[in-house]
Amino acid sequence: MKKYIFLFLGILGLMQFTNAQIDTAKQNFSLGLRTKKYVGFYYLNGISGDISFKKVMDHKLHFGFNIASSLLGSGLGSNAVTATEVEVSVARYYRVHKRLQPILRLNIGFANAQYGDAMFDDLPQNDMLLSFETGVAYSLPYMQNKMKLLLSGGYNFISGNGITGLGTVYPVYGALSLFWKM
Amino acid sequence: MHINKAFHSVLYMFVVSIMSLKTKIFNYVLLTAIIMASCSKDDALPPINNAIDLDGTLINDSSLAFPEKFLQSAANLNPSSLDLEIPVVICAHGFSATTFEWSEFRDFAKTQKKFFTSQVLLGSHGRDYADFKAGTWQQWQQPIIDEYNKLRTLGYKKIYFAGSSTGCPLLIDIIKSNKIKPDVLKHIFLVDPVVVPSNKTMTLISAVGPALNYVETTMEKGEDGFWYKYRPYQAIEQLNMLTQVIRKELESGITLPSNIGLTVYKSKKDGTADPISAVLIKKGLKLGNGSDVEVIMIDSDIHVVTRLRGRNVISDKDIENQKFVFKNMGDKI
Repeated sequence: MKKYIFLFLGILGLMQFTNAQIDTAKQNFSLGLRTKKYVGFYYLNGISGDISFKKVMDHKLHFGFNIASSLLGSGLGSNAVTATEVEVSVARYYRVHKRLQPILRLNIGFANAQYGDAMFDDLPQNDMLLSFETGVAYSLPYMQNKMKLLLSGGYNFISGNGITGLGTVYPVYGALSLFWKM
Repeated sequence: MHINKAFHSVLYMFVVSIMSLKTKIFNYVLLTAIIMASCSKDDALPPINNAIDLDGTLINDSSLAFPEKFLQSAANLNPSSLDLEIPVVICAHGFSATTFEWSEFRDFAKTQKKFFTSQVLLGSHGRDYADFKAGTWQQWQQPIIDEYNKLRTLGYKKIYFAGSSTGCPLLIDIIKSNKIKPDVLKHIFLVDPVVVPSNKTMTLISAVGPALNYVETTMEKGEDGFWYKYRPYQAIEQLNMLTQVIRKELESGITLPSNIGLTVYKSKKDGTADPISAVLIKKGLKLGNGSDVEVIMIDSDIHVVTRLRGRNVISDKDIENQKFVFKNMGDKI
């Protein structure tokens, strides 16, 4: 995994000085795929959306959502617990006219786990999510700048211990999203 | 380790390269401070009290001095044909614990007079801090395998496994990895197994461990001398590795050899082993005929419901739970 991140950063490092097209659109809406990996636990895969407005800080503030599930990640063809997370987010983008854009993001949402047997109904099945995420977005110089990669790492302020919170929510995660500007 | 350093260096250079000069200067100062802090890592021993702490060099688990009182293989070197028909339960304790954890079950077995117990001391446990720090989870596991093999060689025909807490993933791995010949193994009992720890920050131990060096645990009065009080981060790292390995094995699916039963007793509110550990075992472990293993959720808020000795507070419900589990185990033996 580290090798791929290493390669990704290396490529971005070489390309960081190039400019993206200056965005004059009133609003931008992007939709994409997201993969999230908890350190020491599951992969959760799903979709992610992102919208920004010219009038709201000149596209520097983005609003978004993430829906990801282990059913499309660690649970694919395995006995992993089905864990699903739904989040809304607000993100601050920096250097919005450059290809490489550092970001800070706050996610709020909820998590659910399905245990598959009534005997586990007494265990926590839902929990709130509150996480801080930081990373870099890179606008790919192809397809009229419509594609954007977002590599980030995050910290869950609420992680579950299985008594008062959901045991599938771990504190630290990495995420990779690929957006397509609609 | 070298890949880690290279990765962190490149990551750092990359982040710095996109910052302003002022920020760069600040970050170089910060990096220097971090490097200096990491170089001055404290490897000193924790403040062990040799008079009361198991971590010291004076107190050891009694099974090291008197194995015949704990292990059936040492208690009876020439078992009769009648002895060989009597079941033996090999009991494996949890992380940082000792044979003490299964002493109440041994007492229960004596009242039943229908089976023997073998209380195994896990490798690197029950000795001192340095041993605990140096041990791997495979070394913790080895005495369980050794005791099984000794009993099997002696000719015992009915062997049972009972694990508590970390003893459980060790037992699961023994079966999954074919580390024994299971022809005389009859049933496996798992009490509050750890597959997913309740404390999720344990997964970060490799990153924060060198700074912490060790973690001190709060002992209840009756636990002094029976549990390690200071847990070196290297041992926690091993525990983290073990739980990761077992979780992935369960996700892939494990089928027990035919004719071996398995029962899980899991406390519903367990501050050490997340109750979803029982969910993962139920989903990932199947009997030889393809059916589900037995899982019994216990209405309890303590970790290892079978061990009450040494606790500060014991409720009537705790006593009831212990009796229920012992009886349930006894009925299956």
